[in-house]
Amino acid sequence: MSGRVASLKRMRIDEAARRLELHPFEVVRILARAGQLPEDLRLEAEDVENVRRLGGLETWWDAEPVAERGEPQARALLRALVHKLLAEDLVEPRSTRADNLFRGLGADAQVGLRKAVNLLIRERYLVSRASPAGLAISVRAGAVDDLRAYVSRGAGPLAVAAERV
Amino acid sequence: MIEVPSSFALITILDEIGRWREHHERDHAATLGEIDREQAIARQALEEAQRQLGAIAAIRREQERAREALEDELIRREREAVRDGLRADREVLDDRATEARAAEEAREAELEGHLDDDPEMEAALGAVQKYREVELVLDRMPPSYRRAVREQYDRARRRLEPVIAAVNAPPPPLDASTIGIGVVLAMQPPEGRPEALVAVLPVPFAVYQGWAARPEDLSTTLAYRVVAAIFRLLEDVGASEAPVRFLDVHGSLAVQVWLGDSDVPDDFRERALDQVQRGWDDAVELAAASVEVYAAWLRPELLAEAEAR
Repeated sequence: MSGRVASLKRMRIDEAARRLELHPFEVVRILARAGQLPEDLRLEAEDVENVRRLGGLETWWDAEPVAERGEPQARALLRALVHKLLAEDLVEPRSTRADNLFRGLGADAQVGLRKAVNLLIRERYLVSRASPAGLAISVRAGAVDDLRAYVSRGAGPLAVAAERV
Repeated sequence: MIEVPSSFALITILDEIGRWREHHERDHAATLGEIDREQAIARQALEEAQRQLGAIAAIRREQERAREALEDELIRREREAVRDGLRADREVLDDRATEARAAEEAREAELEGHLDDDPEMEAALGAVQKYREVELVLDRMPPSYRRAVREQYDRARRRLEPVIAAVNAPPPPLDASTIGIGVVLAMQPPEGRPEALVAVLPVPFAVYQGWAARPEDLSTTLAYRVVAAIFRLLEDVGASEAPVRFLDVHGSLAVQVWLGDSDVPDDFRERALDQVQRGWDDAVELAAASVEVYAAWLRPELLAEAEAR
């Protein structure tokens, strides 16, 4: 029955990081900046929620998007992502942590989504900038109409570019 | 035809003049010959001096080259000393981490023994573990069920309070001699307005890169404390947006901060030292393992990898 006592320990930073899908140093950064890093580096469950709030962490997916008939999964991800970006109104100067876009997806779907995000950045629908928390992502102000056309009617220049994913 | 008047006296005078002239010509010739010889000697001496000057200049150039080589050798030796020092400190910290883990496991085994002797405690522990299994989905359960589960959990936790306090107490102190390990700090440029700060820790780079595959240990917590100190420092000096990178320097984890776009205060170096010092002043786990950490400022070129020889 060894390990029973260990289960009563407060959480290590790396355990919290796994829960939050973050690097442990990012957990440390978020808490240290807020002056809330516990001296013994052990966390309670509510501290994890605190990190989520302080760091602006969001879980964008609770399930993978459903592909339409004949649609590759990568394109379904792209469509769903664009829909979420517009719904969250993340038009510059508003932005979100790049890792938020992936949180909640399985490993395979994350690979597909990464291709979609790269396409949107390459085609200048999204802009990225470095921040202490990693990349921050915004919708380029001039790209909103094209993104709306793609989501609502599957039309516009993004529909053409999306053929490549 | 003009007749030239002559007389014995005139001829005599002219002869004397002639002799006088010959005498002086001989004198001049002798003097000029002497001067020529002196000139030749002086020229020879000059050529010799020039040869000597050339030789001395060559020796000087050789010495300057030797001095530059000495400077390179000095830097090489200092770099080697930094690399060896970091490696030695990594090993020392790793050994202490093993001992600290063993001490903690021994304490937990003792607590496990107490649980075995107390069926009530054991039941309470079962209830806590059961709660943990359903904790994440509890919000989706009916309110009455949720309330009942939480109440049961709270009762179990109260019963387990002494064990919870013991298992979360500061790590047991090791019966070991105190050891010192160093964190290397460097500023670029070494004087004047800082453009970059680097802290090299005596912990393996895997603490950053391979964190998911290695247990959290003393090396990890030291890294957390220095990382926290650096982010607190940046917050403190109004440079919270300064880019931070984690690098592998001599096999050790390094934290690099770009300050070129930040307007940091003049006492940045002192504040940096204060913050990192505070980082391990709070470190109960390092104190329990009898590990003292000190910081040393070094010239940034000593942190560069040794050039290929």
